This record gives sequence, C-alpha cells and structure tokens, in this order.
Amino acid sequence: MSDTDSDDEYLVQRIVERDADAFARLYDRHADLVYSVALRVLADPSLAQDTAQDVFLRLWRTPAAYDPARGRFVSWLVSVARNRAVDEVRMRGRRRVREIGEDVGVEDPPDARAEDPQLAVQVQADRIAVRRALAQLPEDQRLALELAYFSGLTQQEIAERLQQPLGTIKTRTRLAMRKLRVALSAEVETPYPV
Amino acid sequence: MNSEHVEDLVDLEAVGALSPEESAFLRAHVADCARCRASLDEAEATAARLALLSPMHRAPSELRGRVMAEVQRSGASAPLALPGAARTPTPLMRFNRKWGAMAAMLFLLPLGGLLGWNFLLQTEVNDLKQESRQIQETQRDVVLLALPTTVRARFTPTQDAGTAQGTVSWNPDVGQCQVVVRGLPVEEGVSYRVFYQGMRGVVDAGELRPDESGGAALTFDVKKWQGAEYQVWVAALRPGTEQATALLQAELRRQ
Repeated sequence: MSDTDSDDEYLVQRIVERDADAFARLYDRHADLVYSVALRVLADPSLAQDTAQDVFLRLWRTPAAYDPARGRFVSWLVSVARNRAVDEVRMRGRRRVREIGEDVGVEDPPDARAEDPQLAVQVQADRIAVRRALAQLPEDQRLALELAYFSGLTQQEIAERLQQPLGTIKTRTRLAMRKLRVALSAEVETPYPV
Repeated sequence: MNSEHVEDLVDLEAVGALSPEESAFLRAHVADCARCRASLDEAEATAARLALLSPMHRAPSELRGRVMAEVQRSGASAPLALPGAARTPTPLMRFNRKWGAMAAMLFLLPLGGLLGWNFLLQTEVNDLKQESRQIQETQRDVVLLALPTTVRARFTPTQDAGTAQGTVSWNPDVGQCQVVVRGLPVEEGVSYRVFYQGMRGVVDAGELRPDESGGAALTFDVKKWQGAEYQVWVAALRPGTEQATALLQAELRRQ
C-alpha cells in the first residue's frame, strides 16, 4: 500500500470524526478524477458536476460505506462515481453512446492537477499500463468491455446494438475482464493516481 | 452457487453487467464466502482502473463551493454516532470533568427548583409533540393503504428469513412506499434495512427497528420512482460487515 493509500484511509477516519478539513483534502485530491469519470459516462458537464457532488456528499454523510479491508479508497470512490453516473444515464433514458474510439490515439492532455509532477507521472504510467493491457485484447472483447463500463447500456442493449446474442456479449465482457485482471496484476504496481 | 460459477460472475458484476437479480444473488453469496469476496474485490479494483481511460478534466471550481457549503450546512463538528467512533476520555479530560461537575453543582443548587419545574414543562411539551408526530404518521399510513391506486405485494422469504414475513405497498400518486414486517429476529447488534432497486440501482431506503415482537414498519419517499417495476428487499446487517443478507424480497409493478 502506498503512502497515499494510507493517507486516504486516515482522512476517511477523520471524516468519521466530522473533520471538514480532512474531507476537503480528500476532495482536492480526487475531485478531478471523479468528475472526469462522470463526464466520460454522461458526456454532459452539468450532469457530471451533479454526479460528482452526490458522490462526495455521500462520502461525507456515510464514510463508513468505504471498507479499507476491501480495497483502496480511490478504487471505491471511482466505482461509486461510475455507478452513480450509469444510474443517471439509465434513469434519464439516455442512450448516448460515445464512440469508444474517440479517445484512442488522442494524446492525453497534461494531467489537470499538475501541482505534484511526480503524481502526474504516476497517473500517466498507470494509464499507459491499462491501455497496454486493453490493446492485447481482441477487438470485440475490448469493445464489449468498454461499452459495459462506460456507456450505461445494459448487456441486453449492448447485444442489440452490436447485433450479437446476449450470451456472446456476456462471454466477451467476462473474458475481457479476466484477461485484464491477469495483465494488470502482472504490471509493476504503481501508486494509484491521487 | 459454487465458487467456479461465482468466478464467472464477479467479472461481470465489477462492470455492472449482471442483472439486478444476478447481482443480488452474487452479493448474498459473497457475504458468506471470503474467497469469493476477495475475488470480487480484485475484479472491482481492476474495473476501477478502467476509469483511467477517461480524459482528465479539472473539476469546476463552483463544484467545490457547492460541496463544501453543504458540508458546512450539515454540521462539520459533531462526530457521527457510529459504533466505536466515540472518543475515549483522556486523563486530563476526566480531571477537568470532575472539578467542573462540582462547580456546576454549587451553582445550580439554589436554582434547582426553578430548573426542575422548567424541565417538567419541557418534557410534557416534548411528549405532546411526539404524540402529534405519531398521529400524523398513522394518518399518512392509513391514507397510503386506502388509496385505490396503491400497489401491494407480499414479501417472498429467502432461506435466511426464518420467521420473518411482511408486505410492501407503493402508491405512485403519493410517491410513498411502505414496508410492514413481522417476525424479524431480534438479535444483538443486528440491524435491518430496506433496499430497493429499479432503474437507478440498489438504494438504501432506511432502517427497520423491530419491537419486542419483531414487528417493524418503514415508510419512505419514492417520488423519484419513474419506472413500472421495482424490487424491494428487507436485509439484515451484521456487526463488522458492510454486506447485507437478504431476508425478504418483493416485486412491485405499477398498475
């Protein structure tokens, strides 16, 4: 566990004690990532703001929802953000599906939070590792996985959109995740972005 | 559900690719299986790394203002009433408390009579307020059940239900849902909560507080329910775990 992970857990404990400064530190550390994930799913800055606000207020109101024994804080936070955004997509009946290829091949802008250049390098390194792992997947598995994670579509809807049987889509998604788990576990572990 | 089957499901669950029923079934299994829970945790951590594919943007500055304003409004000072969250008094705190208590007694004795009378009056006012709230809640519940557009379903017990049973009622016009259960086991440290799942995923609707006989009721706001079908669960939460064990399940369909 990195120093940042330990610090995250400490700050969450401080939030239990209603330490607003600790909450503010966690917010400043992770707000960009939470907002970016929500924006990626929702493709709407206003909705992404609302979602990010919900996520952080949930953290403030129920910090005990995060269990350190189950994984890193930032993984939990990102999962909450992504799930909240997907819920929003489904509730609104929005089926806007961004072309996954929009983001591929475009050079990433400099990390928005450049206060800590070392962290920015770590973010970039981790991002490269994920992209490398995804690039090793067959195209159909990669597409199924990214649609499952980012689009807000159900598996049935993805199957209809790709004109494939539901079972095929589920198999592709499952195999893609399984291979991703193996590939990323083999990568040299770098501290998660903060 | 065997562990091999679970391995197939955890990867799908981590990216939200399971149906609500499959997800609830899996979550119920991993609540009791440490190995499968670890596998799910690993899958979810992997899925979270997919988030790095998101182009990074700076969160709007006004977002911070909104969040912090709500934090301040909700009270940043009072510690959450969580088990184990209370502070252990330090020796200095205990010393100060002792002398402080003695000083307070000397000051209050001459005023004791007046304060006691005020306390009795305030207690009576609080009792009347409580009674008024209970009457209003009863009236609201009766109205909810009496409306012709109310949808009602009987809970189906799971294998963990024991003697628990009950019903759930939903009125789309009023925008309220009511859960009434009985036979909940009253166990030390175990709490009961109501969850529902519709288009927005699993949502915690609130806590059920059983009385001595194991009966409990909860009415919660569902004005945001826009769909036609919702699943409602009653689940038990045991100490030391965030996983809920489903006891009762029902499906509501709008007429």
